[in-house]
Amino acid sequence: MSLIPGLLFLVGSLLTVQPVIDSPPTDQPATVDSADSPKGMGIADARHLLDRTCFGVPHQTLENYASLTRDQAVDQLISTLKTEAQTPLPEWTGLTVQEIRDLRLEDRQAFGKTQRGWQQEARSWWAQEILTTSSPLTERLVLMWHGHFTSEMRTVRSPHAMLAQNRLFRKNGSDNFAELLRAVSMDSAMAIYLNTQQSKKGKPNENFARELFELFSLGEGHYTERDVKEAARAFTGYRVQGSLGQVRKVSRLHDSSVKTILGKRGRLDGMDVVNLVLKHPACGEWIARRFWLEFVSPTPDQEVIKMWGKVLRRSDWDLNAFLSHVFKSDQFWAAEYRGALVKSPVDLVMGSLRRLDITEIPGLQINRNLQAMGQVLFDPPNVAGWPGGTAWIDSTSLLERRKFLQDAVPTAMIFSTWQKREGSASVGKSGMNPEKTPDMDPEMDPEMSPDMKPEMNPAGNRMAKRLNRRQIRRYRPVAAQSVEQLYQQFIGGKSMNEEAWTLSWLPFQPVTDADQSDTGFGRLQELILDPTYQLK
Amino acid sequence: MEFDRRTFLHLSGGACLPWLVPGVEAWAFDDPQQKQLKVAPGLRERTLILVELQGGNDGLNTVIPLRDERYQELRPRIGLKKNQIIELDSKQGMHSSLKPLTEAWEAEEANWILGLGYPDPNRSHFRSIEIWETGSDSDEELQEGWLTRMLKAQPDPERAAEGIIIGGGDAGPLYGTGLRVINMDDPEKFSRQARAVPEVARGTDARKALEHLLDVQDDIKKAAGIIEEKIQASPDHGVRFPGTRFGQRCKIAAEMVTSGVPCPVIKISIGGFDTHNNQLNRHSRLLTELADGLAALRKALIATGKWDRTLISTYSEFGRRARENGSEGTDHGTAAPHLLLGGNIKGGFSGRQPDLGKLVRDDLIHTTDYRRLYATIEQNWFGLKGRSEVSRGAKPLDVIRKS
Repeated sequence: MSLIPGLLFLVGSLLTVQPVIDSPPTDQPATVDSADSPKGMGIADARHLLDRTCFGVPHQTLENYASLTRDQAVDQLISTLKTEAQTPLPEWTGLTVQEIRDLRLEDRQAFGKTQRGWQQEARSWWAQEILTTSSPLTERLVLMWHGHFTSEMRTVRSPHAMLAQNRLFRKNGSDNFAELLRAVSMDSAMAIYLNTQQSKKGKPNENFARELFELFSLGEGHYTERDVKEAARAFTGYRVQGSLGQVRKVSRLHDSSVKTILGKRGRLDGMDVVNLVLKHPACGEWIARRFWLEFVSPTPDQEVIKMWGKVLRRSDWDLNAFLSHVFKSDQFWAAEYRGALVKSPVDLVMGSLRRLDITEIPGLQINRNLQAMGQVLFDPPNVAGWPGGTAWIDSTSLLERRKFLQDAVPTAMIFSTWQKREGSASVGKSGMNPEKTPDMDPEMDPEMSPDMKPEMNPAGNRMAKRLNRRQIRRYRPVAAQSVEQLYQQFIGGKSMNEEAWTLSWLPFQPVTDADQSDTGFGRLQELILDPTYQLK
Repeated sequence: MEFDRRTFLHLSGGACLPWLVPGVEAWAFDDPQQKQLKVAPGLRERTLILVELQGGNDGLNTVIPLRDERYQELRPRIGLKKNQIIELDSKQGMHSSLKPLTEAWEAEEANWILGLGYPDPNRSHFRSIEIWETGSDSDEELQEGWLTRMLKAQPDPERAAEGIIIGGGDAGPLYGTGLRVINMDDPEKFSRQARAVPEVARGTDARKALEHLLDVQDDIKKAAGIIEEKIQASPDHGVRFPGTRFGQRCKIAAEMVTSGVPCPVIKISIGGFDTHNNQLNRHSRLLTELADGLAALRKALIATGKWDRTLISTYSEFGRRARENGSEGTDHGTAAPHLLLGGNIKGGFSGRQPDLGKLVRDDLIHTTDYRRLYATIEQNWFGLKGRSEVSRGAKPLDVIRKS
């Protein structure tokens, strides 16, 4: 399929006046022209900041940020942080634990099937939140903590527990690390995943204690095998309670005898262990290291990480202040680290769609695309999380990534264009109820089974349909024409020249001949298919 | 000849030069200029197909001791009955679901290596498969797969790739840098997608991420070019493969070997062996799928004259607990038997079955270090004599007819 039709949507996002939620407040200079202004950091820096800290932003927002200084931009970005998701949760999250238990007892097999359906919907729900959130930085942090304090839904099984954990990351993930670590240690999904749930006095399970030290807070070399064994005893007797949120210490199952952990002796319990970990000097550095790997480069600079560790501990684990410190650091902006990170599948998929202002794509494609590239939301490969970096790219995943950029992106753009032009009139501004959308051909839509109940429809009924061939044909020439206008406007206008256009997409100059096409849309296609677009 | 970039790195990299690796002399060269182009003939002519049984296969219900009543005592509910076992010799039988493999057994082209494992066994899926795939000791962490260590000293620009992974999964024993490893589901789809990947002139950019990405692009284009060409001239083996997922993976593996795609290692996998509960039916279904696929693969390779040049070997992270658990299943265990198949294999058993009377916390004690399997593949199958990269002093097993 030709890419050409799709870019229309980009035009739409620029020509139609739409509220851009995360654009700077009106007292900031925020015009297209100011990309060149000596005060603003410019389009290349804006792309760098937003590709790394967000999952892409619409073009207009990118230009708004370009007009700010780096410090202004970071402050602006951090002010968008949120503690709650905006996408409505699937209906079944309202079921009580008793109701779920009854469902299971009624028919085990049927329940298994239902639960697998819920798991899919939980993934779609989060994907939708990442795609449409007004604070992509919040979701970036939620995903980072999910890859750090791992739990796998295929092991935990309960989507309720996984969503509760997801909520925890959103609530505590940008606020205070000490609180976050305490909450995670008492989290239900974690207790199920790392077997605290089975650990009891006389039969301690070491799983959580070991990972708490090794992966979650200190790193290897800062604790002994004996610490693990003793900490395992401290974590005996914690059980998941009805709410599926936090665990509770059950005295008769808890080993309350004296233990020695990280040099401290006493009748220590789980929370005491967490507090000891927080006092350990290695903890700050371990967390600083995680931020470095997430936001700066794959090769830690020990000196800087040491300093960052101190910053974290001195601020009493204030993550908000720490984020600001990291994003304003010289290392974050250093030329040598530009393009040093490989975009994760979520980066690539969500970043491309968000950049093009696509808020819905047909069916459950997003999660299928992510899976093909090796990242399934709620299911990291193992307790160590996604390895990231160059491990994202092998021959299969690279071809899948290219296929997505070549085929799925334009398809989504056509759909989005259609929806903005025609769908929105009858569907409502957010397209919340595609079932009632006119001009749809159910025969053309293999995603939509007739017996699908609305309440089973994932992600708040946002499952979009496919366009039929007639609609696609109709939009093709319109799109091509609009794209051309858009591109000419960019190039001809004073705000952006050819190079700025390139650097609003890529971390550095393309390695292929990305200026062969003589249409604006062709050039965009060349840019996103250039290998450097895979980097950030 | 196209000069491969990595070969150049090997040549210029010093440490990777074959003639600087002590002991790699059996096939050494007289003319230093020619060295990089001479590869152990075994690596050119022979193929290893690895079959990973993901989740930890229950070895004790795969090869069953016939004359040991402790077997039924340990497994009152999931122990196999007489009619569920195919007798192989006076002492051992195999699960009746492996029936499609009896032809290979009778032709003396199948060898069961009994009691494979390692000291101080780890029971985590994640860690234990890492041990198996890197060839490390239990308390040691190696950064490269065992085949990576073996193959990276043997660069060969004529190859399509060092390894082809079919049907997903990670590179496993081929993990690490310096090898070209291709993942694919379907060769035609792979070639089609590869054609769209651009040629990039390589500069001097030192950015690691970009370097890696361009390396992978090069690997894809090169492998796809060779695979496409070979498959067009592929001989018809006339075998219908089972429609199961594993059967279809075997079909692609067969296509690679029969068409002569130059690649020393192919890896396929079959999942679902983590049978903690209600194991009997599930395990039986899995072994049927496994045996049906392998039997079809054998037929196709015999039909095209490649069977003598192919070695199939199973592996898995661990066997399962000798004593059954409370939910008619088995928990993570230790040692297990593994199967070698091929036209050049000496049929029968190697090693011995672990003693059911000597269990450690209901687990079997291994009788054969798993690296004897690797030493066999390295030295007797591929003919890489001299200093071994993978054996750790373990001796090859006498299971290959003609080294």
